[in-house]
Amino acid sequence: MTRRALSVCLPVVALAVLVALPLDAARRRTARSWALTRAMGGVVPSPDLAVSPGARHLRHPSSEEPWAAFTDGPATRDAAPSGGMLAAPAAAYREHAARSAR
Amino acid sequence: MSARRLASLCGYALGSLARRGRRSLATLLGLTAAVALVAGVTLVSDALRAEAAEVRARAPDLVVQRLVGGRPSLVPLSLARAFEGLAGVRRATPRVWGYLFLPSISGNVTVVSRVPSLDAGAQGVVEGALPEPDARGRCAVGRELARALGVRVGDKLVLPDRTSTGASCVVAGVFVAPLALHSADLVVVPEADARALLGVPADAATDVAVELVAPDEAPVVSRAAAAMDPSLRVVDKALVERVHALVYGRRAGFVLGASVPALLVLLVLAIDRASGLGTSERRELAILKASGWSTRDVLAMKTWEALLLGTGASALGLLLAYGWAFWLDAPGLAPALAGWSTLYPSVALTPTLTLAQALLVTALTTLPFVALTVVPAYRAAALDPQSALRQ
Repeated sequence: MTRRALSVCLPVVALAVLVALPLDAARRRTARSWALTRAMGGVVPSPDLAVSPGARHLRHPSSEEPWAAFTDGPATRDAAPSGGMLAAPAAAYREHAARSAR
Repeated sequence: MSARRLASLCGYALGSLARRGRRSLATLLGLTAAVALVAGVTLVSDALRAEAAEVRARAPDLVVQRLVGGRPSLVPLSLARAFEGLAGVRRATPRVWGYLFLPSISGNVTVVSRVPSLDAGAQGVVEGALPEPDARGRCAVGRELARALGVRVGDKLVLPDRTSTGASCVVAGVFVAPLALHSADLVVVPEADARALLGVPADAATDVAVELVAPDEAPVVSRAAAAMDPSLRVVDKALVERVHALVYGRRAGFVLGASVPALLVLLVLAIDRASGLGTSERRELAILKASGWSTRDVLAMKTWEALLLGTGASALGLLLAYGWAFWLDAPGLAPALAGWSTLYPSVALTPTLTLAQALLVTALTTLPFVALTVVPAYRAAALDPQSALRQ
C-alpha cells in the first residue's frame, strides 16, 4: 500500500473504531435482560447498588438521613474504609428539603 | 485544491510523521493514555448510574421513614395504614428490612422481607425460588454471600439473631449472576422471619413503600404525608436519582482529581511535541516553501498530520478504555468508582456509550490538538524561506 493510500486509510480505520464501539455497546444493551434488573426494584429496599456496606450511609445512601455520616458525633469520621472518601450526599438532601417545603 | 494534490499532501504528512518516529510515537502515546484514563472513568461511572436507574424505574414512588432523635426509627403500622387514605396514593406497603452483622464474613448483610405486592414478576431473579411469604425458615441469598458462606440451594444457613443459637433458614434460591451488583449482600426472607431476625415488633415496619396513581404528584403527596407527622421523612425518586448522580459523579471526580498530575504530564508531553517546532522542522517548512509549496499547502499538510495523530489517539484511547471497562470488567477502576465492600460483587457492567459520545471525545481531543499544531506551523510558514533557512 502506498503512503498516500495509507494516510487516508488510517483516519478511516480510526473512525470505524469510533463507530464500532457504540454499536457493540448497543448490542450488549439489547442482549442484556433488563427486565430482571428492573424486577429487583420490588425486591431491594432501595435502588442503591450492593457495594460499600461498611457504613449505613454508604450501603443505602439514598434512604439514609442527612446526618448518617456523623452518627457517632458532630462531624466525626466514620470508621468504614470508604467512609473517608464518600460523605453523605447532603447537597441532595438540602435540595429535596427545599423542594418539599415549596 | 484537487483531490490528487490533497492525497499527495496527506501522503507527505504521513511520511513526515514517520520521519520523526519517536516524537510522533510520544505524542500518540501521551494523548492515547490521557483519553483512555478519562474515558475509562466516564464509561464506568455512566454504566453504574445506568444500572441504578434501571432498578429505580420499578422502585416505589415514595418511601416514608420516621426519624426519632435524629435517627431512623420504626414506623407504626397504624401510620402506614393512614397513608392509604391520602389522595393520589394507590397503595402503601409496610416493609421490614435492616442490617445484620455476620461475624463469619466480618461484614453486614441486608435482610429484607419478601413483599409479594411489590416484587410481582421477580421470580426469575433467583436460581431456585424466592421464599413464599408464609414459608418460614426459607430464604434467598445473594450470589456473593452464598459463595462467601459456601452454601447452595437446599443448604441450611444459620443467621445470628437475639437467641444464642441463631436462626436457621434453608436456601431456597440464589440471585442470578447478572444481578450481582444489586443483590450481593441480600438475604430475602418471609416477613415473620425478618421481624424475628431484626427484632422488629409486629405492629411496626422499617419504612413504608408508597405507590402513587400519578408519579408526577410525588411532591404533593410528600407534603401531605409529612404534614401528617413532623417526624416523617419522605424520600422520592427525584431525590434518589440526585443521590446517585452525586455519589457516582463524586467518585468519578475523586478518581479524575487523583489522576490530574498524570493527565497533565501526558497532555503537556503531547502538546509540547505537537506545538514546539524544532529547528529541523522549521528548516523543512522553509525548504518546502522555497521549492514552491504555498502556505496553504503547508497548513493542509500540518492539519492532516494533526488529524492523523488526534483521531488515532482518540480511537485507540477509547478502544483501550472500552476494553478496560467492559471486556476486562474494569480492574482497578471498579472498586474506586463503585465502592469498597466486604462482599464484592462481580462487576459486569453494560456499556451506555453512544456514537455522539464517541464523536464528542474525538472532537474534544482532536480539535485543540489541530489548533496547537497548525498555529505554530502557520507562523513558521509565513516567514520568508531565506531568512528561515539562515536562522
